[in-house]
Amino acid sequence: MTAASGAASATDDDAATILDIQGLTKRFGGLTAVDDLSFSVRDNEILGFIGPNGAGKSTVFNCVTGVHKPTSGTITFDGEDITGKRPYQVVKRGLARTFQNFRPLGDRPVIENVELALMDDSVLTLEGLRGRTTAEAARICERVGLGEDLHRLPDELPHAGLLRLELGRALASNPRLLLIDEPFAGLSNREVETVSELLTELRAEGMTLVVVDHNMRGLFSLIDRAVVINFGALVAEGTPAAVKQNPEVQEAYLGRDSS
Amino acid sequence: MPDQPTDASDTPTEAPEQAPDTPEQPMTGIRERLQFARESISLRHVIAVVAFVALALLPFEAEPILMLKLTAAFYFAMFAMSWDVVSGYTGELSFGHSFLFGIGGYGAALMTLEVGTSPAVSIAVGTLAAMVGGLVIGAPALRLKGPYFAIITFLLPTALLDFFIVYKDVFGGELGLSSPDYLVSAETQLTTIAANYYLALAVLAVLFVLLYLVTRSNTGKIFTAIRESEDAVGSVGINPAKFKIFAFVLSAGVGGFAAAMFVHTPAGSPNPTQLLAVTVSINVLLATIFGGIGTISGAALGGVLFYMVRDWLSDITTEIPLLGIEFGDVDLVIFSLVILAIIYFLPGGILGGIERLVSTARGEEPDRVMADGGGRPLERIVDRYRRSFANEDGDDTNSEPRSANDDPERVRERRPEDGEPR
Amino acid sequence: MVSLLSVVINALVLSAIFALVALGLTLIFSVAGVFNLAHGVNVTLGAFTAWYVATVLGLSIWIAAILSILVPAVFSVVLYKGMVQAIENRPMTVMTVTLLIELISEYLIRELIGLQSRSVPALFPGVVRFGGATLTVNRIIAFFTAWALVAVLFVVFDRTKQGKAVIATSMSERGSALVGIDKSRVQLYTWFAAGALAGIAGLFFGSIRTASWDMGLNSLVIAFPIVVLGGMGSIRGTLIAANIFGFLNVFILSYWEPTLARTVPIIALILILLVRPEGLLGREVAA
Ligand SMILES: Nc1ncnc2c1ncn2[C@@H]1O[C@H](COP(=O)(O)OP(=O)(O)OP(=O)(O)O)[C@@H](O)[C@H]1O
Ligand SMILES: [Mg+2]
Repeated sequence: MTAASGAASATDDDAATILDIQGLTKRFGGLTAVDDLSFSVRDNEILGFIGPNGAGKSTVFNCVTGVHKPTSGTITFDGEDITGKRPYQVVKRGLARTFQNFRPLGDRPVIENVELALMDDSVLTLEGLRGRTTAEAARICERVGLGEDLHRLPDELPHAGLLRLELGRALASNPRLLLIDEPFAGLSNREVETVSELLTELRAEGMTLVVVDHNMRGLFSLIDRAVVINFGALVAEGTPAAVKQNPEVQEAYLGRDSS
Repeated sequence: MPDQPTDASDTPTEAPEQAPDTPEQPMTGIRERLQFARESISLRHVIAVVAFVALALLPFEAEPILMLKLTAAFYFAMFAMSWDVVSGYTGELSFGHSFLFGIGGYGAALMTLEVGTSPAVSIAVGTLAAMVGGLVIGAPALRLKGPYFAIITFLLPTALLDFFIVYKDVFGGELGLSSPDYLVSAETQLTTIAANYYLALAVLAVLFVLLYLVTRSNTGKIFTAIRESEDAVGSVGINPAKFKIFAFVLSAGVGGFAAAMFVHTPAGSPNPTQLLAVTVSINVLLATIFGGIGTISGAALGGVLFYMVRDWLSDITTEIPLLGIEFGDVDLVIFSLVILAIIYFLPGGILGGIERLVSTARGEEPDRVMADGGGRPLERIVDRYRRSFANEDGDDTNSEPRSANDDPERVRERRPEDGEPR
Repeated sequence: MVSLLSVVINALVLSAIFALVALGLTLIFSVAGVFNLAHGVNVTLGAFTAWYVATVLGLSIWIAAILSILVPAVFSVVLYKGMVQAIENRPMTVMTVTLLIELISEYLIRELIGLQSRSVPALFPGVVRFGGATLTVNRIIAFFTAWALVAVLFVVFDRTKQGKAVIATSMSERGSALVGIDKSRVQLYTWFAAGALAGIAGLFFGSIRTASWDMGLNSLVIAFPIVVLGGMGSIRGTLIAANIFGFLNVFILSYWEPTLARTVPIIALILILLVRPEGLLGREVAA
């Protein structure tokens, strides 16, 4: 496990790259959602991935995790080309994600939602007839703040609870890199704080995180670096402070946001 | 109105306080263990054991004709269970499972009649052929959304039947083939019928246990997870396509095996009415909804009951007033109306209904007791289809959080974030 | 040996009638977002209403024709109001329920009328000769009526407020609600129109071919490939696809194996869904 470096800024350029995106393009019919985008994610950082509505953030996640096949470009995770791999193959390599539109399994309680991630990808098994993974799943739920809600159904959870569930299920697949799509939308200030704390802890344990938001202010204290996109193309990249000063960012994005 | 909740979002509201009357609070492990015990010897199991014992004793009392009917009912129940694996668990609604029964039954019968293999070998071949058919049905399910898939399954048996009609020299057309030798036969007709009855009951029991174990294992939980969200399954490193195909092949194996056995008994023969017609596919669906979809036990119980009740109805010669039609001639209409009523008023089927009654009498919360491999399956499947039409599953285009629109509480929680700087 | 010309004319006529059935299916799909598997009942009802009124009651064929449009239209609306509306955001239940209605109706018609086919008297008796082919006036009328109805449909969608409301609802439910379109009113128009169109198709089927108890399911079996090939919700696509399948149907009937006239469209449907699930002119359906 990497030493906990705390929230110190990760500006050292020799940090290894864990995810490398080169020339990524994704078209839906005539619409270019991602346009020749290149950036990389460094090992053990928290990267803010920012852009206004419809900028293509979720589409980038979908391409990286194999939900969509990129139109062109390559995606390298930990030195291995994972372009066009199926979602489950990507997850098995240690790259997990959460969905912006939550995908809870509405038919089962919280703990069993998390247990899904602990199951083997094997059809010929009678495992699970005795609850062996329950303890592990309960620990993960506890970790993401759902310790009180183990036996609740997703429908009974508040919005923040569903987000925690989404995080818990992703964590249970034991990723090295976690892509989180808009965790803070719809959370109260206090909930944003607790989730940020959790993410910081995860980083301290050696995980790398990419966090999406429309809004850089919410991410400012959390992230080490930011990548800003608009219309699917890169606008700026750098430390939060530097990105914020970038005139293109201010024009393309921050200006419009202060409504 | 908009002002009042803003304060609430800043107050540290703990989740449990928001739903204070939920009974499950995991205070100790004892509570969980108690609950596990309660579920593991549920009413459903009691019913199953009692029914099984009663059916095993029956031949000592019954007329041969009743035994034959029950034999057919047992095989029909196996058809229903095979349908439930695919449609009840993975949520891929099939309107055409008779395609698989047709392949299994006709395949096996042709082996015995034309190739001359022994019934046992023929049954194995028929089962394998049906499993290949399961692959054929399962493949489109990997690419297509549910409703389109349902249409394909609906039309497949019709296409197969047409094929059988065109090549009627081989397949016997609308009339079907003659009956092959029985798998088991004895000196007297009565003993043969009794032997086949026990064979059918035994096969039903074995397949029931097999499917029960599979659906209660992790595999079954992954099936139902696919029903809820394929994206979620993929996102935790499980290959949904593999599990769907497995469900189809398993279902086809069970259904095809049952059909192949069935045509080698005195109760069944390889003809469209018993194996391939649209009505067979629909009957299987009706029987399973009748018993309780997504439970296997509901399909088994519903299958036997459906078959026997329909048979009983079809013997009623009383005329329906005004229409001048005998009740017996429209038995399926009556049954369909019953099923429509169940769809609208009793989504858990009769098993669910009984359990709901019992648990309400015991003062328990009914919905939880009905969960069997998760949720109330009919509603879950319905939900899956709603999502697939609403285009929600599969892309992340909608920028709103999942339920921000329909819950005023959540909309208001966004408010402070938008306006105020932190 | 049938002359090629009369086969082609037959195909044109039949395609036009198929189009009427398929249009209703695709309209309901685009507005309600559901597959109406009971759509075939409208066809059967149209045909047998005409037969009953004209042959059994002995009334004028024109009264029969009007009723054969109204009865299915009303049935369609009652089906929507009575059964579908309550479950309309649950497409799977709608499919199951409408399929049951289809089967129940088919059973009842079989019990009440029997397995025997009936024929509806021609609207206009007589024949004309055309380039060596003999064709009944009835067919010509069917062809032109069907296309006239399609033209009317286009005008309605293009010009009238109600028609525009239907199109708007099919494009975006939320958007149309925002501009004040009453969705349940739009649904009523759509189900009414779908029932009426299918009823007319039934009337023509009954007088050109025959009316039989299984005609509903059989026209559904061919309407599905048509709407899927055309692209769900696309009227132009449906018209093109109706002609493709109409020609296919008539050519198989005339030159190949009659039984396969039902099988080939099914196989075609499966292939279309696997290769180009969005159809000719439709939106995407593949997962
Ligand atoms: N499956 C799809 N089919 C067609 N267009 C799509 C699809 N997914 C995304 N798009 C389009 O691609 C563009 C980028 O969408 P995307 O969801 O990636 O944006 P985003 O940055 O995540 O926005 P938001 O902040 O609203 O979540 C949008 O115009 C969207 O409509
Ligand atoms: Mg997004």
